[in-house]
Amino acid sequence: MPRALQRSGSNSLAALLRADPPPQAAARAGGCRVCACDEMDPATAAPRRRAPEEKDDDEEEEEAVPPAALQCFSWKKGAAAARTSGVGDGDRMMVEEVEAAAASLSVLPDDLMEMVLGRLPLASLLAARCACRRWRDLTVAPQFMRMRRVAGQEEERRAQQRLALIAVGGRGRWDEPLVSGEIYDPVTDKWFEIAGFPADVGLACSGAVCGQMFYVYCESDTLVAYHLDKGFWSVIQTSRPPPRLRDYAPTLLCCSSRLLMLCVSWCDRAGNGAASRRERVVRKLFELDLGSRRWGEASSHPDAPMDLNAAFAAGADTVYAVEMFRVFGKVLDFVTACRVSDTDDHRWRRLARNNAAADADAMSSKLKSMAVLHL
Amino acid sequence: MAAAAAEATIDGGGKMIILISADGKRFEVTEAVASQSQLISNMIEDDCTENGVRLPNVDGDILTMVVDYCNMHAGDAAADGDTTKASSTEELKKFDAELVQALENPVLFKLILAANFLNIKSLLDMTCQRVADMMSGKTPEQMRETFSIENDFTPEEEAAIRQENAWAFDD
Repeated sequence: MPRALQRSGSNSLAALLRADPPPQAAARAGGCRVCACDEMDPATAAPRRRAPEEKDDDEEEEEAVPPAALQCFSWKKGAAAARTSGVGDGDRMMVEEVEAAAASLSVLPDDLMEMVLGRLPLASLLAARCACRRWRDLTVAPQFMRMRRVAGQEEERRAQQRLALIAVGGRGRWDEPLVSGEIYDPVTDKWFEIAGFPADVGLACSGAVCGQMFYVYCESDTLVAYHLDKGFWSVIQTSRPPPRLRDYAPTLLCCSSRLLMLCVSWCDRAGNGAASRRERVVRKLFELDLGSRRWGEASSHPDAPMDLNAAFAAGADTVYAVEMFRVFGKVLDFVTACRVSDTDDHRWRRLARNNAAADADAMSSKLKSMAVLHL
Repeated sequence: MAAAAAEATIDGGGKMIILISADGKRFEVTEAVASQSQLISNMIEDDCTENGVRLPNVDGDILTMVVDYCNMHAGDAAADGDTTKASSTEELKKFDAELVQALENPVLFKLILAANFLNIKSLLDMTCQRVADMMSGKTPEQMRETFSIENDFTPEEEAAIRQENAWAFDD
């Protein structure tokens, strides 16, 4: 049975790791999610049906082909339906008419529009639904929702084959830090043990998968990494790790293929710092340059770190933070985000929120959790 | 026979097929290239390509792109699963990305229609995805503007439907 599950909650690490997709899956991943359209079949079958009569007469064949093809492929529905009526007068007329309306997406017939809409992430799909009647009607149709659901399940199934769970660290029966680790493979539904930490690194604080490596930041400020494809641990020799307050556990995150660490440390003392008697603490975001292996400060969080159990999550290019704490019997929550990119200055901004924490009690500030959901 | 003129064979043994666009432009391609279009592939099976294939729905500019695309992807289907082609797969991806990225809306839409008409699944996927990517992250107003879509909701209807879906796009 999964030994990983026995690891003590707060200090064991679990991370989702994404192995390289198998080649075919990768090819298919970019492919069509929704176009198992039956509607194409009659079209492709059509030339076959037509063939026998035409073979009789070589001379007329050239004339006969276009109208026949047109009938087979006439756009059935929507705005484009009218255009097929021009067919008799020759091809040119049709081309011109298309030209006039060509800048509008309404030139696409319903089945193609469905294919486009079916590829939208949920939030954009809902926005598209508000744009015009036709898009709304298309997207609320049961068959569209069904098609989307099927495509979603398929995608999920495909994605799952590439996911695994990795669990390391934790505390043992006598409160000693554990060095062992396991990986769960959803394809075989089995946990298997991986090598333990390479050195005495203390308790594992936080882990993150970045590229082909699973990094773990340890209590001793050592960074170790497990090579997922090669299957061994190594200690990453970095520049001097950022100083940090022990009360706040450091958090390792991977965002935009960068390895980031959040921890709480002392404020930089200003040069003429004699005046600032009271040193303040501040939550800082550090980045490890994976080439030179130097830690660099990316940004400081504007809020004083009040929450010992602040939760963090990484999206595609943004790090999210939620802090909750109790003041005067009331639990306050603050959600902030920091975009990680070359062009940004990594400034944290506050996110608007509905007051979800209104009913939260003191315990919930310890138990909160956060995840990034891709819609 | 008129057929003989259009039916040339090349060294590789692949038969040549002539595609004729709506505005009368002629494109000579190998069977292997052309048969990426399921439509033409069926016609080849039925032996009705001798006099050239007229494509009354596709004008020359678009057909040029389609033929380029098919030429690039011709080796693709044959070497399926062949890992030695990794580098050219990269190139293909780049070619594909550049092909759709540069397109103006009307041309992109025509390319979708052509891909659908010719039934070239990979091209259809790619072009539909491009439009979806262009729609992603936009508000309803921005979508209407980008794609020249008329707002045909009554104000009440719009208010109601926006309310339902507002969480997705209202800041």
